[in-house]
Amino acid sequence: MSTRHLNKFLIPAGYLLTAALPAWGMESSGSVEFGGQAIRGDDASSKFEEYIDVPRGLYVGNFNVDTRTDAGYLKIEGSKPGFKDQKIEIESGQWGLHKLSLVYDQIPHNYSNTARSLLRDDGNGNFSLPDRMQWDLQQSTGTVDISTSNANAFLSHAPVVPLRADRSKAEISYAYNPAGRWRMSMGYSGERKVGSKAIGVTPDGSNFQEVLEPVDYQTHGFNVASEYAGKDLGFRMGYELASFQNNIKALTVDNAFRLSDGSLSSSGSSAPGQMRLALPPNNLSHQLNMALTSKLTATSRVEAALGLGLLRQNAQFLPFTVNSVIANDPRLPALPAQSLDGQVRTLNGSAKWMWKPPVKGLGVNLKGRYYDVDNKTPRLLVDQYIRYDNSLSTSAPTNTFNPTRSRRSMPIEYAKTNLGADFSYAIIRPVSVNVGYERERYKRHLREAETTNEDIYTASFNLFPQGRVTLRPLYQYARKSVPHYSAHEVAEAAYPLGEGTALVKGQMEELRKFDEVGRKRHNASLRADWDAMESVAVGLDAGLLNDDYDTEYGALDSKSNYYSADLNWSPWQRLTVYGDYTLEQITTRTRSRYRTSTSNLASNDWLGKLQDTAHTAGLGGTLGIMEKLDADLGLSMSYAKGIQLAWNPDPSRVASAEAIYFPNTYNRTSKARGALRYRWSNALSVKLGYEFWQYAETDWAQDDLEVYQATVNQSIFLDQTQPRYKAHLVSLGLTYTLF
Amino acid sequence: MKNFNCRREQGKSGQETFVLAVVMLGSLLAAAVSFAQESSAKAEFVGAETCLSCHADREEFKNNIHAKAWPKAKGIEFGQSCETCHGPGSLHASAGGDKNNPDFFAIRNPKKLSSKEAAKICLECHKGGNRFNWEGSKHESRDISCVSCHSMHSAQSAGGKFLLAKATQMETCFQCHKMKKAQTQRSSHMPLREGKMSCTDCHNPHGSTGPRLLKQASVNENCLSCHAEKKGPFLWEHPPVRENCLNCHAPHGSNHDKLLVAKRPRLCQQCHIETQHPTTAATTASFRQGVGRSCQKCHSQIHGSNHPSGVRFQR
Repeated sequence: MSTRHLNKFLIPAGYLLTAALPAWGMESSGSVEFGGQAIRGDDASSKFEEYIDVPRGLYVGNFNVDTRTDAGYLKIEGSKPGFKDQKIEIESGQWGLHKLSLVYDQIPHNYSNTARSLLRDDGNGNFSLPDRMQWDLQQSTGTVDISTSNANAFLSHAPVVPLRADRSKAEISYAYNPAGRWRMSMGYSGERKVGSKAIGVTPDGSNFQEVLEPVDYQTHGFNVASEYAGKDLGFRMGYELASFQNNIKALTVDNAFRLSDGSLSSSGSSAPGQMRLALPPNNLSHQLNMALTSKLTATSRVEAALGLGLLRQNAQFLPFTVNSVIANDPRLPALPAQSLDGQVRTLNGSAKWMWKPPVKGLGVNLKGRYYDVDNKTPRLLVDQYIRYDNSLSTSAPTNTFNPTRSRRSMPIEYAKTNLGADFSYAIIRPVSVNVGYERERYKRHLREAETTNEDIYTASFNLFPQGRVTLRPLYQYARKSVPHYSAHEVAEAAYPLGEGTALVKGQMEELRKFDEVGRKRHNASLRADWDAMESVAVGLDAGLLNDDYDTEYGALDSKSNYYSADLNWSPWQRLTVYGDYTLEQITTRTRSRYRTSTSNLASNDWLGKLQDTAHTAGLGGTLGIMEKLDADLGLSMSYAKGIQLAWNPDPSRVASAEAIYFPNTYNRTSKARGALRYRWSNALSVKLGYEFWQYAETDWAQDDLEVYQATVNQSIFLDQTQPRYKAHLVSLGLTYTLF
Repeated sequence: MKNFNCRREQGKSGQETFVLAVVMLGSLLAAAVSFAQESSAKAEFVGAETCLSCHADREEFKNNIHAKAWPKAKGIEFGQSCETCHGPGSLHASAGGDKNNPDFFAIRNPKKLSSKEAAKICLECHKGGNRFNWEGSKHESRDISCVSCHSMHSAQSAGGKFLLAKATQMETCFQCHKMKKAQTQRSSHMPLREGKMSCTDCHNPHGSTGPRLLKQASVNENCLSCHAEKKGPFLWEHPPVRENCLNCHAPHGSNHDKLLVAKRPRLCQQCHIETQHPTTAATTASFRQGVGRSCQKCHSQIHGSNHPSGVRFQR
């Protein structure tokens, strides 16, 4: 019996049980919402129910039952039983001694309702096309090109396929003495995520097909912890285990461009009849945490924490290729190992010393933190790997750049150290100031910038000039320096035969990756709150973040700013009005260069500007019309615009390097709601609601794509869009108070 | 003349400093005397019935989780409950509501205390659990008080859960974090506004040993606690992925698909030059790189690949 159906019995049973409790002298309360909803309009878009299951027809909404005695309690609460986003929580315990909780929660994620595919799901990650159809899609066996007319005729009629993944999670946890000095807790959680999402596969690095990636994940977690929290001394210790299991190890897809594997050419190429990808491997992680907090003297405390983690992954490697012609070639080397034997150890150590000097209002914090990701995964040399199931490089190893020949894996690891101090001083009651300094140091292995240092200076104030006004300004300046940056050293480590001199895939010398580059940062913000009178509250927010990167290519600089205002006004007891508006703008300037495998000319440079602007506004209010009747109105809106500009600073660039603007992107979400609620009696209230939901987006990257997109060079898409919707929802709901 | 004026200004400034110093000293003296006066009488416990004789609207505190749990958990009966937090109330009660009587203020009102003073009261009982790292935490240092988020007497949260001052956890956090509120309204978002996630799924507002009040030791450990399929370790790692998810994703909301911080292919080009992958949009060949899932049409395993041939994240 599915959970959906099970809950139809469990929920009423729970109510019947708890309804009987008052008869046994137990103090109980509870309520249930139920009713019906009708939807009119265009609600076919996946965006309409992206994470929820909108009721159509009769439904049960929120419900709760709370039963208490002097000794203990039982609480049941939940929402939308039987729906794809249902949730139920049960908690029971003895006051201050035992607490037992059970939670079951479902979260749907609807990616798209428009995806279409001719591929047949044969199970276990295998997707196929009937041979005859594959034959017809190809003009003839052995020809790589799809016949355009055949492709259009077939693919334009591809049936709709589901593109969604639903997550279900169950948790049980127990705590002993939850409000005492000594505590002990343990818990288990099990989660299942099932569905499919979009993924791209390519048979040759040129043509590509978008297909369904089956999702069938299971995650189990277990935790146990114990803690003592005394007045002057506290310590805790905990252990967590997490196991992830993917029930589908690989994705194997028929190549619409080929019926079967082609014969091997002298250069080692064979067009594949299938393509295969490795899906996320199983993993297992352990985490041990310890923490201590202690009063050292009358004016100082110390806090220290230590966390040790171990992550293992040892899934069996897939063979180099699913292409039988290449797989059976005697020149194909053996796999470097049967599995990765991946192991990552993490260490998190932190300490904080807090001191209140003998100056009233002054506080000093010294803090340090060390986070180390120690990747013990062996570095494997993969000689002569197969890039796309289509080629076996038969050329002899040389010391020229040859990415198809030999690569060494790069297990990424790093250590991050933070050391800092901050001082707070409550000058007088309405004014306090915090100043701080922190140094953040990254030590990386196998990356371009093996060391980066960042000095961060912060000053913030908490001002309460009058009882009803609060001001919180903050300014931060940070400078990140990079003593040594070398893309070549990373390439040398990755290409054991040498990076070579060709530009085919090499990295540009002058480009600095934005997460490793030197940077100057200015960060300022202000939050102001004004409770003007008992009935009015006003808030203002503003912020500015400027990053200036030390690079000639890549991201040059980035600016983001935001402004926000909000108002809450209750002119009289029966009326409350609220409104808010926020503007956020993020602008990034970039520089890049059009290059071929042999030419690297500065005249082919292009500059780019990316800018995202988002307006968000909300307006609403509640009005008590009569003693038993009140109204609730609300409107929320979000409007965003994105621009992606590119232009060439040098007019002498070659024709292929001409940079032009991508079209602007837009999206808009708005919701309006109105409701009338009438309290029929103490036990029953009725709510008549109306909502209008609207969504629209314009995105050049997705809008005009067809399943077979001839202009995108023999590629097949899922046509997975999230089209606009506009829907009216009318509901009549009752809330019945049970006890 | 200029110098003369300057000296005059200096002299004036010196006088002002002197006056200011006198005023400040006087204030300190007055405060000390006032404190001494206030301390001259010692308040005693009077019991909840006395409190309720004036504060009848607090009668409902009998249903509060504190009143329910205290007798068993702490041995505090209802009669002692008011003064457990507000301190002994005899002086306050004897003032009889007269705000001109200094004794009226001889009662602890957490809303009028500094965050540290208010927290001290709450931490008498709530020291452990999620509050283990409260002292020295971000919110504590910005003078955010327990009662900024929690309301002992007038909880607005459904069923009084966590005794929140607002109806939901998100509304509570969004009292201050307005920008985050706006970001959750973006087209690409996590299911916060749908009520299927909450701020505390990732953050511990009471303090943590991780960055940005995250419950885990790093951003990645936090994200991967749900997105476990991306944990790896993989044979072929994409370094910025392994180091920090926030290099590419904006977890609170974005205008771009998959919570990306910028639109592809421009996001990828912040680290990668476009050799043989022209994206200048002038030609069909260059425009095609950007459509659909852009670079990830082919480099689909961008979080890492465990395929022996997956070095370019295509397998």
